[in-house]
Order: sequence, then C-alpha cells, then structure tokens
Amino acid sequence: DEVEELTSPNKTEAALNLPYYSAVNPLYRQYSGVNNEGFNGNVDIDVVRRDEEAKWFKLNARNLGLRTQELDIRYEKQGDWSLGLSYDQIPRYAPYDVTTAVQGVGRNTIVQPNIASTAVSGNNPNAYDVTLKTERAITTLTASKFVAEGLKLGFSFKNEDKTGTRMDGVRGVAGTGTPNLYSGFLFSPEPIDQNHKQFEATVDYVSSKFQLTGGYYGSFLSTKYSSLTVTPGSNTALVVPGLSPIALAPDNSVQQFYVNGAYNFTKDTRASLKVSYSEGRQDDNFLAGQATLPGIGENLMGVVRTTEVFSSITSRINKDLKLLASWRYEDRQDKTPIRLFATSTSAGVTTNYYNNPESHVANWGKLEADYRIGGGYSVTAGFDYYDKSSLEWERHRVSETTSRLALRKTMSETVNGTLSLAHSERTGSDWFGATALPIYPVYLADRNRDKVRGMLDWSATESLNLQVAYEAYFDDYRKSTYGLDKGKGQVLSLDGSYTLSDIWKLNAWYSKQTGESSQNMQGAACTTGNNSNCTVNTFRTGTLIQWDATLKQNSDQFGVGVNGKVKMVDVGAQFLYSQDTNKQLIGDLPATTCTNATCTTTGALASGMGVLPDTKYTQNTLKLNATYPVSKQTRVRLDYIYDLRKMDDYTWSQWVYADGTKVFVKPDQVTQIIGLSLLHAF
Amino acid sequence: AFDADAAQALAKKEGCTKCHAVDKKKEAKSLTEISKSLKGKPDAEAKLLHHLTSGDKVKFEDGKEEEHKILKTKDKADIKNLTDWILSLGK
Amino acid sequence: ADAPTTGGKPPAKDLVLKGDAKCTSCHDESDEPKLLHIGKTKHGSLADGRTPSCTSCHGDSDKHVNNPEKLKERPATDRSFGKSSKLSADEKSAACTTCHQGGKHINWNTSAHANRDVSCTSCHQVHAGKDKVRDKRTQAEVCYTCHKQQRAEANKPSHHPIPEGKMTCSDCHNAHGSAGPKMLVKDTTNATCYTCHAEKRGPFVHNHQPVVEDCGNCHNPHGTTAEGMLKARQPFLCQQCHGESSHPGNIPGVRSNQPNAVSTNIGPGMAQARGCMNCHTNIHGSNSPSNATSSGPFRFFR
Ligand code: HEC
Ligand code: HEC
Ligand code: HEC
Ligand code: HEC
Ligand code: HEC
Ligand code: HEC
Ligand code: HEC
Ligand code: HEC
Ligand code: HEC
Ligand code: HEC
Ligand code: HEC
Repeated sequence: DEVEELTSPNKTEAALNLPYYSAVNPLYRQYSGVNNEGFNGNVDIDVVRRDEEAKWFKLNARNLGLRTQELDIRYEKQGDWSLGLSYDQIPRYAPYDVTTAVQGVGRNTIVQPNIASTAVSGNNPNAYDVTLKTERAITTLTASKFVAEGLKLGFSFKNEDKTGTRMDGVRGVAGTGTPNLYSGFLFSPEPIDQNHKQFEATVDYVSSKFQLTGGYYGSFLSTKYSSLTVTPGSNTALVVPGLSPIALAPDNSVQQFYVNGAYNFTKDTRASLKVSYSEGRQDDNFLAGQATLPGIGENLMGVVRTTEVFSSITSRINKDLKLLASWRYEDRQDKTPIRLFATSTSAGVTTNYYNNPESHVANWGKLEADYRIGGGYSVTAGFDYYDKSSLEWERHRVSETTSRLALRKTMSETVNGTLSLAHSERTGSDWFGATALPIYPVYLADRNRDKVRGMLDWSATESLNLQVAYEAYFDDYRKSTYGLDKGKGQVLSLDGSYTLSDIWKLNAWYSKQTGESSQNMQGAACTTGNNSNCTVNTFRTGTLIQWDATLKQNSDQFGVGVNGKVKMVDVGAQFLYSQDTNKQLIGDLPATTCTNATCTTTGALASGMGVLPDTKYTQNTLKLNATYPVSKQTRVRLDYIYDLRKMDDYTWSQWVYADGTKVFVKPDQVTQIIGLSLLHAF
Repeated sequence: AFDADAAQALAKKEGCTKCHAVDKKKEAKSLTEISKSLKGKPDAEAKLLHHLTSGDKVKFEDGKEEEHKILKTKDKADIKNLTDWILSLGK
Repeated sequence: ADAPTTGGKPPAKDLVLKGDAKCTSCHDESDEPKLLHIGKTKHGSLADGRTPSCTSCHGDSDKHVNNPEKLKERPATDRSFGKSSKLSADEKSAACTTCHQGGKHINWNTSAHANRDVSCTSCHQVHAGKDKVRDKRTQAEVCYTCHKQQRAEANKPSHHPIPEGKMTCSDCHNAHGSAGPKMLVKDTTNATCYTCHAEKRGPFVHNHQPVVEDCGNCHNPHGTTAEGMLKARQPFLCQQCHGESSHPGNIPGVRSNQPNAVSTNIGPGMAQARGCMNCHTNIHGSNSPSNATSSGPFRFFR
C-alpha cells in the first residue's frame, strides 16, 4: 500500500543508455574515458532489498560497458555484520593528441627513430598517432562484525592497479644540424604498471561516555618497471649516455598502528587523543646495470618512522561560551643510512654526493573561544601556532602564528552571515649558507598573510534564496630578495535559487576568481641570437640579469539550472560557462635590485625572451534532459549535451621534440552527445 | 469546474492532511466525511470559508480543543477551488 | 513509546519507526514533505534495535502534540531542524551525536564544521530516501553550498575527476573532522595523497625536499589552470624557490617569439612542453644509484 511504498527501500531498477557521441575530443575525453565516436551503450543497475530482519542486499552498477564502469555489492545485517565488494575503473586520457615516430610507447624501452637529424622537422613518414592514457582498476573488499554491544571489528582490503602511459620526456643533446631543428628534448613517455594493496583492520568501541577506535593500516606498492631506457636510433647524437636509463618509482610500503579515543567528561566537555606510529620502507632492488660506488649494495634500505599525536579538548563553559584547545605533533624520522653515491671532481675540487634523507618535527596548536553575544550574534576568536624544524632545511626552524576573529549572525529565518578575518606571521631561525641564497623554499620564507572570508545568506522570500560569498588572501613575503614577493587571490560568488512553483525550480550562480603573484629572479641571459656567450649547448653562461614576473589569473564561471515538468514530462537544463585567463608579465628588465656580488652588470635580452602570450581556457557545456513516463514502471529519457572547450595555450603549440614528436591541442573542441535511455523498475 | 489535483496539492501544502485524510479518519474527520455532513446545506460554502479563515475552536476526539488552522493563502480562486473540491467529495 | 489510543479512531499503529504513532497519527503517508521516506534509510530498519524513533531526534514534544496552551501557532517540536528552528547548530547536532559519536565521527567536536555552526543536518537529509551528500555524484554540490572556491577550482582545466563523478570530496576529507590538518582523512596531506599516489612516497636516493615536506607546496588538489594541478606554471613554480644565479633563473620565452638559435633550449625549454621537467624528469625524487654525476641522477634527471 501507500505506506509500504513510502517506507520500503526495496527496488530493482535498470537503465539502458545509448549515448551517441558526435566526436571524440581530448579535453572532454580526459576523464569520461569515451574514446569512440558513435554509440557508447552502457547499463546501470540498482537493486536494494531489505527483509524483516534488517538484512540488506544492495547492488549498484554504473556505466557498465564504459571505461568508467563501477559496481558495488553489499550484503549486511544491520547492527550485526556486513560484507561488501566493489569494483571501480578510473581512466585518464592526456588532454592532447600526439604524433611520433618513437617506438616502444607503453614499454620500458623507448627507441628513437632512425632518421637523419635534419629530417625531423619535416613530415616524418614513420610518424603515427599515440594516445597516452592511464587507467585505474580498483577492487575493494570490506567486512565488519559486531562482537558485543558497541564493539565492532572491521576489515578492508583495496587492490588498485594502475596501468598505461603518461607524458614524459628526457633531455638529449642538441643536434648538430640547422640549429632550430633541435631543442635537444626527447619524447619518452613513462610506462606505468603498478599495483597498490591497502589493508585496514579496525576495532571500534562506542559507549555514551567513551569511544575508541584502533587499527592497523598497511599500504604496499609494487611497480613492474624500475627503469625506462631510451635508446638512440641512427641519430645517436640525440641521447646523452648519462641520461638513460631513467629510474622509475620503486616499490615501497608503509604500515601503521593507531588508536583514537575520546571521552565525555560531562555532557559539555569532551577530550580526545589520537596516537599513531608508522614505519615506511623502501628496499626495492635498484635498477639493473648501473655503475655504482662500492658499498651501495642492492637497494636503498630506506626506513622512515613517523609518530603523530593529536589531542583536543572542547568544553561548553555555559550556554554562551565554548572553548576549544588542540595540539598536533608530528615526528618524521628518515632513518635511511647515508652513503656516498657519487663523487665528481672539477677544477681540483671534489664534490661528494650522498643520498639525502629528510626528517622533520612539527607542532601545531590551536586555541579558540566562541561566544554568543546575543541577538543571534556570536564571535569566535582563535589563535593558531605552528613550528617546524629540520636539520636538513635551509633554515632549521620556522614558526607561524595566526590570530583570527569571526563574527556570525545565525538563527534568523531570513538572514545569516559570517565575516572572518585572520592574520598570520611566519618567521624562523637564520638562513644557512651564503648571504644571497641560491634557494629559498617558499615554505620557509618569512611571510605575512591576511585572510578574509564573508558569507551572506538571505532568504528574500519563501521562494527566493540569495547568497553572496567572498574570500580573499593577501600574502607578503618579507625579506626575500628572490622568489615570491607578493601574492593575492580573491573569489566572489553569487548564488541564487528560485522556486517558481512546486514544479519549476531555478538556480544560478556566478563566481569570479582572480589571483596575482609577483616574484623576483636572477638568471643568465643570452644577449644575442646565437652569440658566443650563449650557444646551443651552453645555455647558462650569459650575463646575469635581475627580473621579475607578475602572474595574473582571472576566472569567470557561470552556471544555471532549471528543472520542471511539462505535462507528464520531467525536464531539466543546465548550463556551465567557465573562462580562465592567465597572464604572465615579465617585467622591468633590467631590474633595479641587484644583490648578488657577481651581478655587476645587467644584460640586454635577446628579442622574444620574456614574452609569454596569455593563455585562455573556455568551457561551455549545455545539458538538456527530458524523462517521459511510458508507464508506472517504465520511463524513457532523452539527453542532449553540447560541449565546447577552447584551449589557447603556448605550452605545447609550436613545440617539436628533437625526435620529431608533435603534441597537439586542438584549439576548438565541440562534442555533442545525444542519448536515449530506457529506465525500467521491476 | 475545479481542479482536484490542485486542490489536493494545496491541502497538503497548507498542512490540512496532517489532520484530515481524504477518506480515512485521522486526528480529525476525513474530508469526505466532512463533505457529507455539509451536503445539501445551502450555506455550506460560506460555512467552510468561515471555518478556514476564522480560526474558531475545534474539538478533537480525545476532548482537547484547539483553534482551527487558518489557511495561509489569500488567493480567492485557490480557496474557492479547495472548497469546491471538499464539497464535491461527499457526492 | 506512549502512543495515544483514543476511542473512535483506529488504534494508533506505528508506520515506520518504533513508537512513531505519537507522531504519525498526524504525519502519515499523506503528509507533505514525505517524511515516511525515512523508512527507506537505515534509521527505518526496525529489526536493528539501535534505530531511533521520531522522538529520539525531535524530543518528546508533548506541547507540539497536544498544544495544551491552545496557542494559535502550534508549538514547535522540542527539537526542530528547519529554517525557523531556534536551536543552535550544536543543539541540533546533539540529536545525532547521542548515537553517532564513535568511529568516523569521533573527532566531530573539534572539526571546523562543528565550530562554525554547521550541524549534521546542514548536510544530511534524514527524511529523504536518498541523501545527496552520501552519493559520489551529488556530494560536491552539497559542499559547494558553502565552499565556492573549491567549486571554482574543480571546474578548472586541470582537476581531479570530481565534476566527472569519479572522485569526491570525501575521498580526501572526513567532513566529520579528523586528527589531520583540514579534516583530511589521514594524519597529513602527504599520507592522504599516498592513498592514491603511493609511487611518490619513496624514500628515494635523491629526495626533493618540498615533496617530502608537503605535496601542497606545488599542487592544489582542487584544481588549477596549469597542467598537473600545479599552483603555478613552469618555470615560475620552480623559480619560487630556485634562484641559483644560473639557468634556474633564466627568462622563459616561446619558440615562435624567438630567433632560432636562442629557441633551442633556453627560453622555450623553460616554458614550453614540460618546462623545467624537460630535463629534471624525476621531480618527485629519483631512486637511481648511478654514480654518473652532472648529467646523472642527481638533480632529478633520471
Ligand atoms: C491540527 C489539526 C488540524 C489541521 C492541521 C487542520 N484541521 Fe480541519 N479540523 C480539525 C479538527 C479537530 C476539526 C473538528 C473535528 C472534526 O471534524 O474531526 C476540523 C474540522 C474541519 C472542517 C469541518 C468544519 C465544520 O464546520 O464541520 C473542515 C472543512 C476542515 N477542518 C478543513 C481543514 C482544512 C482545509 C485544513 C487545512 C487548511 C485543515 N482543516 C487543517 C483539525 C485540523
Ligand atoms: C495533532 C496532530 C499532530 C501530531 C500528533 C504531531 N504533529 Fe507535528 N505537526 C502538526 C501540524 C499541524 C504541523 C504544522 C504546523 C504549522 O505549519 O504551523 C506540524 C509540524 C511539525 C513539524 C515541522 C514544524 C517544526 O516544528 O519544525 C515537525 C518537525 C513535527 N510536526 C514533528 C512531529 C513529531 C516528532 C511528532 C510526534 C512527537 C508530531 N509532530 C506529532 C500536527 C501534529
Ligand atoms: C534521525 C533523526 C530523525 C528522526 C528519527 C525523525 N526525524 Fe523528523 N526531522 C529530522 C530532521 C533532521 C529534520 C529537518 C529536515 C531535514 O533535514 O530532513 C526533520 C524534519 C521533520 C519534519 C518537518 C519537515 C519539513 O520540512 O517541514 C517533520 C514533520 C518531521 N521531521 C516529522 C518526523 C516524524 C513524524 C518522524 C517519525 C516517523 C521523524 N520526524 C523522525 C530528524 C529526524
Ligand atoms: C537513536 C539512535 C540514532 C539517532 C538519534 C540518530 N541516528 Fe543516525 N543511525 C542510527 C543507526 C543505528 C544507524 C545505522 C548504522 C549502521 O549500522 O550502519 C544510523 C545511520 C545513519 C546514517 C546512514 C543512513 C543510511 O541509510 O545509510 C546517517 C546519514 C545518519 N544515521 C545520520 C543521522 C543524523 C543526521 C541524525 C540526527 C539528525 C541521526 N542520524 C540520529 C541511529 C541513530
Ligand atoms: C559537511 C557535511 C557533513 C556534515 C556537517 C556531517 N556529515 Fe555525515 N556525512 C557526510 C558525508 C560526505 C558522508 C559520506 C562519506 C563519509 O562516510 O565520510 C557522511 C556520512 C555519514 C554517515 C554514514 C557513515 C557510514 O559509515 O556510512 C553518518 C551516520 C553520518 N554521516 C552522520 C553524521 C552526523 C551524526 C553528523 C553531525 C555530528 C554529520 N554526519 C555531519 C557529510 C557531512
Ligand atoms: C585529492 C584530495 C582532495 C580532494 C578530492 C578535495 N580536497 Fe579539499 N583539501 C585537500 C588538501 C590537501 C587540503 C589542504 C590544502 C592546504 O591547506 O594546503 C584541502 C583543503 C580544503 C579546504 C580548506 C581550504 C582552506 O583554505 O583552509 C576546503 C574548504 C576544502 N578542501 C574543501 C573541499 C571540497 C568542497 C572538495 C570537493 C569538491 C574537496 N575539498 C576535495 C585535498 C582534497
Ligand atoms: C553549511 C555550510 C557548509 C557545508 C555544506 C560544508 N561546509 Fe565545509 N566548512 C564550512 C565552514 C563554515 C568552514 C570553516 C571555514 C572557515 O573557518 O573559514 C568549513 C571548513 C571546511 C574545511 C576546512 C577545515 C579546516 O580544518 O580548516 C574542509 C576541508 C571542509 N569544510 C570540507 C567540506 C566538505 C568535504 C563538505 C561536503 C561534504 C563541506 N565542507 C560542506 C561550512 C560548510
Ligand atoms: C582518492 C584517490 C586520490 C587521492 C587521495 C588523491 N588523488 Fe590525485 N589523482 C587521483 C586520480 C584518480 C587521478 C587521475 C589520474 C590518475 O588516475 O592517476 C589523480 C591525478 C592527480 C594529478 C595529475 C592530474 C593531471 O591533470 O595531470 C595530480 C597532480 C594529483 N592527482 C595530485 C594529488 C595530490 C597532491 C593529492 C593529495 C592532496 C592527491 N592527488 C590525492 C586520485 C587521487
Ligand atoms: C617541487 C614541486 C612538487 C611537489 C612538492 C610535488 N609535486 Fe607532484 N608534480 C610536480 C610537477 C612539476 C608535476 C608535473 C610533471 C610531471 O608530470 O611529472 C607533478 C605531477 C604530479 C602528478 C601527475 C603525474 C604523475 O606522476 O602521475 C602527481 C600524481 C603528483 N605530482 C603527485 C604529487 C604528490 C602525491 C606529491 C607529494 C608527495 C607531490 N606531487 C609533490 C611538482 C611537485
Ligand atoms: C617549495 C620549494 C621548491 C620548489 C617549488 C621547487 N624546489 Fe627544487 N628544491 C627545493 C629544495 C629545498 C631543494 C633542496 C636543496 C638542498 O638540498 O639544499 C631543491 C632541490 C632541487 C634540485 C637539486 C639541486 C641540487 O643542487 O642538487 C633541483 C634540480 C630542483 N630542486 C629542481 C626543481 C624544479 C625543476 C622545480 C619545479 C618543478 C623545483 N625544483 C621546485 C625547493 C623547491
Ligand atoms: C636543458 C635542460 C635543462 C632545463 C630545461 C633546466 N635545467 Fe636545471 N639543470 C640542468 C643541468 C644539466 C643541470 C646540472 C648542471 C651541473 O651539473 O652543473 C641543472 C641543474 C639545476 C639545478 C642545480 C643547481 C645548479 O645551478 O647547478 C637546479 C636547482 C635546477 N637545475 C633548476 C632548474 C629550473 C628551476 C629549471 C627551469 C627554470 C631548470 N632547471 C631547467 C638542465 C636543465
């Protein structure tokens, strides 16, 4: 009856979808995984059964038949035991097309083409198209069982395979022919074939006073290829002997034990503690056939031990005042033995190259008070602190303090709002090394940061809801001659939803995001085209010059959605417009700041250097759908998608690898999809 | 002529169905029963209208009394449609 | 519970939850919105003794049921959750944390949500057969009602497959709070990333310090315009840290803008194709033991 229909979860539904793709476009294909024009039929299934004993059976399948297919099966007796099995595929296609004459794509030996060095820029008869893509196939098994009231054991196992090829390249040696033919870079896509197994076993205990979760987590990665070899074709000059084979990611694992407990001292005061300890290992065999120094052995013997602690207490002192304090601690100790891997002697000076384990210790503290000041207003004042230290860093210790204040207006039927401000300052110990450092990692740099976040929610009428949100940050990197100097970013969003009637609903939003950062640099420059201070092979002996760059980005996004019903037919439409523009302005050459002792003169620049075109990415997606109920059980759904993406970016355009490989990004990509679906409830 | 679907939708929206089902007794009499009891009365429509806008006391079966719910909508046509529909139920 | 049994009416019968007759005598199948849909959820599994009754969440609400003061406006339930509710977010969530305070919810009280007036019901629809926030395909929409920046970023050309429905916010965040930063599912950003990108974990023979420190030094996982979700394009990203007075600080250019000789490997080699990674291939770390130096594995060439 009616009550049964409203309350029973039971259903058996299936959908047969027949989308027709007008074209395959790299940008649209990226994660949709559809690489065939025409029909791409697929099936969805949704089955739910619950019996009187609260035993559930659920089967949910999506996109069966497509590269994005997934399946989830669950069987459980609620409050007692559960079993689950799921399978998921995630494809990823490179967002561009590639034509190459390189052989062995997808394998761990890349063979450069047998072509004369002068021939590459012309049409290479051996060139063919390759599609670079990876795919993940993930299988998860879960099980849980209550062994006593409030005491649950859980187990999960996730097996993930990732296979395919991704864009990569290697430095070669510039050819000897006409100079412009060679950039000396070789196309050498990386083969990926790896398996990641993750296990988790947990014990959960819950009572009203006290909760505890403890567990074991193990993650084991094994990769099939330990190296990628790039072999020269007849044009042996292209491959530098010392650059092949390239090491690929080694097998590694981490195992962790953790406990997380919380205790309610009173209804209003709660404290928690989490402690975890993990050990990571990396002892995969080194890639074969490498000349190594004595004593290096077969593997790195990498060991990393990490301890993490998190503890907190929250307390409501009275109806109006709430306090929070928390502390987090991390101690990462890289215990990998340090050994000498190489030495080099230049001008009588010998440099030793050791492996460089990275360890650090960090503390994060937080104090927060939340006070209701009446009239629906509350304020939150907070103080955050962190410090991090490491003996390997350019500065052994940095710390940052943040003070924040937020004002909120809540519990009003029509208007709610928040405004929060935060100010942080980061400083640290002295920098090591030379006065003018060659390296100034941003995370160690002195920085002032201000943040603002505001949001206003207004239910203008019962059917109209409006929202304005604004977020911004302003960074100032103090004392840094080079590197980041200033940065800011802002997002302004307007959202509205309007209920025209019980049937027709409309929503629309607009977001504007802007960002700007400026950074200073010093670098060598060629002063003339093929000047002696800057030849094809020596590219860093030119005059040192000072310069700065201002990077600007602007993004506008707009979305609308309408849903309603015309007679018996449910209809819907969505539109998304998004445009991203980036400007990279390289300025004021030669710059005035010149702190480096060796920088006495500033050089002129070869024409064209420092001129980077703007880049622009545009997306327009229109989606229309209509569902017609043929009978109570059967519906027919029609979908139409129009998708236009434009990519105007210099990154790959006009780029030719020294082996002749070209990478294309079609500037205008229109994908249209018409889909017919048959939905049936059994 | 009245639009039965619209009337029922309004009854739901106004919360009438929390207490009155169309043809089943709940906290209060079913609308059909109410319609029957008003049947033939010349002032039926006026009575209904008064009832739905005045908030006069009503008595529940368990004896408790409450002011009756007042329609939120002020749209005359919608109200007429609702009363027409209620009156039609008893037939 | 104490279902009223009054003469004349059919005996009050529970419709979905234990002891719900107290409420469903009014809020039955004809009530709008369709509250009885709660029966489709796990809360509606009567055979599980732990499941709630209406009054577990809404309170006994005798005033609402009987309106003893004969108020014109029927008094609200003891606990109500809608827009007109007079309860604070904490008080709303308290209706849920009586049952849900262990496991994944153990750190709720310290989460940014719990402390910024976000209650369980800001995200969850308990009376709906389908809870939007727990469906991979619709979850992000719920988060976007508050997190606009992430919405803007997920629509950028380089992003995780969130708009495509193959990944979702809760793959990285536990919305109920966690012991990690920014409510990440693991204790650190890196540990969170390694659940999917374990090949970046190392340790390697040659480690790149910022990688070990925090993936977020270079990547914005919500999406960016630069390829590979990098926070800035090549070579500017690298130049935020590297200013060796030689090629790392070189000025980029584009092939078509430059004279031939210069375009070989200076300007364009920094800005085009893979930028600095045209040479520094293994930027996340290299495990090559080779003793070849300059062009060898040091400096992440191979
Ligand atoms: C809180 C419970 C409640 C709600 C809500 C409610 N009613 Fe009633 N209604 C009653 C009770 C009790 C009576 C009188 C006793 C009976 O008839 O059972 C009544 C009586 C009536 C009558 C008969 C009046 C008469 O003179 O005989 C009509 C017509 C009526 N309601 C219509 C409505 C409509 C239309 C709505 C929605 C706007 C509504 N009711 C909402 C409880 C309610
Ligand atoms: C006598 C009939 C009746 C009973 C019994 C009843 N309700 Fe109601 N309830 C109503 C009516 C009528 C409204 C609509 C009030 C309004 O619109 O002003 C309502 C509204 C509500 C609301 C929405 C308004 C709010 O307060 O947020 C909730 C929640 C609610 N009821 C829950 C319950 C629960 C839980 C019970 C059982 C403990 C219950 N009701 C028992 C008649 C009843
Ligand atoms: C698990 C907690 C929980 C249980 C059990 C529960 N409710 Fe609710 N109820 C809520 C929440 C939360 C809301 C606020 C609306 C929402 O977010 O879905 C709500 C909203 C309502 C509303 C107002 C709906 C509206 O939008 O006007 C009514 C009426 C209501 N509940 C009645 C009931 C009745 C009757 C039962 C028992 C069958 C019940 N509730 C059981 C949590 C619960
Ligand atoms: C009296 C106990 C109780 C209360 C109160 C309660 N829950 Fe639950 N809830 C449960 C139980 C039991 C389950 C089933 C857990 C399981 O075994 O998966 C559950 C499951 C859920 C689920 C998963 C539902 C599904 O269908 O998979 C959600 C979401 C949830 N609760 C949210 C809430 C929210 C939000 C509130 C407060 C508004 C709340 N609960 C209040 C007992 C309760
Ligand atoms: C900011 C959004 C948000 C808030 C606030 C929130 N949740 Fe959730 N909740 C989620 C999401 C997303 C999921 C699904 C993914 C997951 O399990 O983490 C979920 C899942 C759940 C589940 C099902 C978990 C399972 O194991 O299947 C329960 C129960 C639940 N939430 C209860 C609560 C309770 C109780 C609160 C308040 C104390 C709350 N939620 C607050 C977003 C939220
Ligand atoms: C691939 C992992 C990942 C996914 C998926 C993800 N996040 Fe995040 N998120 C992060 C990490 C890592 C941080 C911390 C970034 C930092 O502070 O450097 C973060 C931070 C945040 C913050 C805090 C930002 C701040 O400035 O404090 C918010 C809010 C957030 N994420 C929301 C979301 C939402 C909403 C989604 C879904 C659209 C989402 N995230 C998806 C990894 C992820
Ligand atoms: C009802 C509004 C709302 C919704 C819905 C919401 N959030 Fe939030 N979220 C907030 C607020 C408020 C903050 C605190 C932001 C601040 O302090 O500036 C926050 C903070 C966060 C943070 C940063 C946490 C930290 O420690 O700084 C993350 C991550 C986050 N949310 C993720 C999510 C995810 C994932 C979802 C959806 C499952 C979600 N949020 C849904 C309001 C919301
Ligand atoms: C839940 C799984 C998951 C987590 C956690 C995750 N990722 Fe990913 N990531 C993916 C998937 C899926 C892709 C798509 C390509 C692929 O399959 O590798 C991806 C791709 C990427 C890419 C390449 C994107 C491109 O366009 O080239 C980067 C960079 C990345 N992730 C960084 C991160 C960082 C940083 C974190 C942690 C903050 C993180 N990811 C956490 C699943 C994840
Ligand atoms: C020093 C800057 C930097 C840091 C720190 C960094 N990355 Fe990257 N990452 C890059 C660059 C540059 C690329 C693009 C070049 C490429 O594809 O190899 C990239 C690409 C990726 C990709 C996509 C390509 C692939 O290998 O699948 C993933 C995934 C990724 N990074 C994950 C991570 C994770 C996880 C971390 C933290 C452990 C991290 N990155 C830290 C610079 C960095
Ligand atoms: C957030 C800071 C940061 C960013 C961004 C960064 N690096 Fe580094 N890089 C470092 C630090 C710190 C070291 C270690 C220096 C040391 O050992 O003293 C390093 C080391 C190196 C080295 C080895 C230097 C040597 O002398 O052996 C190379 C090569 C390098 N980085 C290239 C790059 C490239 C290419 C990029 C862009 C993808 C990049 N880095 C981005 C911080 C950064
Ligand atoms: C054409 C190939 C190539 C490109 C492109 C390239 N590098 Fe290098 N890089 C090298 C070589 C070769 C060395 C080693 C020089 C040596 O051993 O003396 C090196 C060394 C370095 C070092 C170590 C410090 C030093 O000066 O010896 C850093 C840091 C570095 N590169 C960063 C960068 C950055 C940042 C970029 C992008 C702006 C970049 N590289 C682009 C080839 C390249």
